[in-house]
Amino acid sequence: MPILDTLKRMYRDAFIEQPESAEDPKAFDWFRTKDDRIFGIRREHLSANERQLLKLTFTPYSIEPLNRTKKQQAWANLLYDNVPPVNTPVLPQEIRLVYFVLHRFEDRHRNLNAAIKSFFNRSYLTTIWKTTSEGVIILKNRGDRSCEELIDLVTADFYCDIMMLNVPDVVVSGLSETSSRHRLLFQLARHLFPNQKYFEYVHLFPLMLVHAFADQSRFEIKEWRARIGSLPPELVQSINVYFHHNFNLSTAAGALYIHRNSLQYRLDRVHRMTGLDPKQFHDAVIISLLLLNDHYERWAAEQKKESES
Amino acid sequence: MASIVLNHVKKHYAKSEGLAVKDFHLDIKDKEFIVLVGPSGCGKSTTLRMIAGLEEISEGDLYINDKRVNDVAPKDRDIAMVFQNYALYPHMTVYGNMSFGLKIRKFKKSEIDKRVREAARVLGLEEYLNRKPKALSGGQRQRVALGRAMVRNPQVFLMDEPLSNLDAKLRVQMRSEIAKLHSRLNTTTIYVTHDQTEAMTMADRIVIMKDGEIQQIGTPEEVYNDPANIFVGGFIGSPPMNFIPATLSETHVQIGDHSISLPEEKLSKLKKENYVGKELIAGIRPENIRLASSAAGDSSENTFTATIDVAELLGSESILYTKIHETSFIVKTPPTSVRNGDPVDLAFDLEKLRFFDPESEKLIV
Repeated sequence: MPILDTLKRMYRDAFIEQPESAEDPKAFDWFRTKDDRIFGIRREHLSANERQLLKLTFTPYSIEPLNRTKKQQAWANLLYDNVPPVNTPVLPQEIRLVYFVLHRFEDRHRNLNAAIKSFFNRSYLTTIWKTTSEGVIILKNRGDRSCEELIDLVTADFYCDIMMLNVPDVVVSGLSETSSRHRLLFQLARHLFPNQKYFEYVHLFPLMLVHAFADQSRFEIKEWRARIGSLPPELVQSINVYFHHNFNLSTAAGALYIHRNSLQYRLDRVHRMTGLDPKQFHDAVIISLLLLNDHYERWAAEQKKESES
Repeated sequence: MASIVLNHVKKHYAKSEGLAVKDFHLDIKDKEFIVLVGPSGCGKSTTLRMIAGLEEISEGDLYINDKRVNDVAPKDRDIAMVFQNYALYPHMTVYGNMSFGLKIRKFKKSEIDKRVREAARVLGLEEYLNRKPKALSGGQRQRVALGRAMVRNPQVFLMDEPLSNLDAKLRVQMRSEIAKLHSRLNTTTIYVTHDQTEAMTMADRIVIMKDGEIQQIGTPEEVYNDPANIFVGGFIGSPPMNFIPATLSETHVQIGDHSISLPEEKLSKLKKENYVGKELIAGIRPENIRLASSAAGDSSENTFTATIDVAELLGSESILYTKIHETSFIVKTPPTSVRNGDPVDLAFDLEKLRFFDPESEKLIV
């Protein structure tokens, strides 16, 4: 990210990445970039105007634990440190978790808590803020209220960008381990699909596979990766839209604004170029995974390049 | 009220991906109703989100009332948003839903009450203020969503496919309600849709997008009558514009085995642009083809013989599906008794015939 390089040059030793690497993290003002990089600048090196400008460009990041009620703290202990609550009512065996990350959120957290509580009403248990811009909503494991509506509500009422991951049927025992897996997957999904605002956990299962087997697949499916990687963007877009429309040529062609025969021709071309037929279910599953793998690898390569530079 | 300028705005999410929005340049006048329209993934919602401040602008400048707002927080841009989902708090009353945004901004109770009641009056929701969303119809819920935006008295309304969740009948009704609301409030509005009918019926000006690029900006009449390219000709209008290959000679244009004399103005423009001996794409709207009659002065020169594949009588008009020189054609005529399989003579209104370059696909004349 060129802007971080510029900040590094400007603030030299007063600039630091990751709170863990700071001896005294409280001596810094911390910010988060849209691609989740955390950086801090020593307080005494920032003028009021500079601080304001940074706040407009990045999301302020808090390293302090946010003020929590006893109930919230009990859930936070369970969620992040696997410490079971003492002297609290019996916990439900299963819960639903809705992870969220906010961008450009400048309102009071308690206002957002009130909005979330009002939205979920009886199924609402609590909201745990991990930082000032991310957290998790804990719900009773019932009700199927769509979080997509909540995304629109929060965007309209709080003028901020919000991304959510919905995970139902979470077993409470061993919560901290499960939750850290959820958070990792959510982070990956946010990076790979930055213009998608809402994720269902089950839909991220392919991403989980791709991430888990990234090292093996690099060698084992080299040939297939090359074939998929050689598809021009126009064909990749056509396949994605065709899958999104459940193999319906007419509606997919309509969404792409091309003639049905043109889409048919493009799908045949994919078949010829890859040896996999997007119109056959099993081949379609493999194409879908290979496309995801290709997208993942491009992103990973870009990350590597950035961290090296 | 507000004027908005998007000055060569670009958006990219990642270096490995292409531009989601390419060089978007548009001046929006105060009080204007602008519709961004285009197929899925064309960048229209991303553009709207950049105006809202929900997405960063990668390159270019955004001005609201001559003030550069690229780095202004969304809450300070004086905008209000309406989305595809009704986006209502299910356990709050209509009044509670409409007042929530003002409450968290610490408006005085009396001011909140005044604004909510005024918006409810304009939207015809006065008698529903104590109801919860589940006790409302789809149209009423969408009106509450509009009311939530209205109570803020914003300078700009941003609407992202607000009618997509409604059934066809309700969509038509809400379309006219939003148009009426705009003429009453006169608030600058930017409206995103994939539906060209919504765009044509609601917009002061339409911005047609494809693959992150503006294809044409114009009034509904302009984009309909003079589409900038083949894409716009096919996207705007239902049924869409018909296209057929043609070749230009010194004196005529050849379509299949027909040699057609063009109006002088069109012929000289094509000749001036050096298309003699070259291929062209001719485009004509379905309503500019008629069943030929000698009374209308149709000669064999502008008349094509075809067989009707399917004839649909829609009451006030007939839609005829046919082929001319192996190219599918759709014809819209006044009600006719023509049936499937009937041979017909079809005449082109040559004044309305348009010509496009086959490579660039741009309009020539």
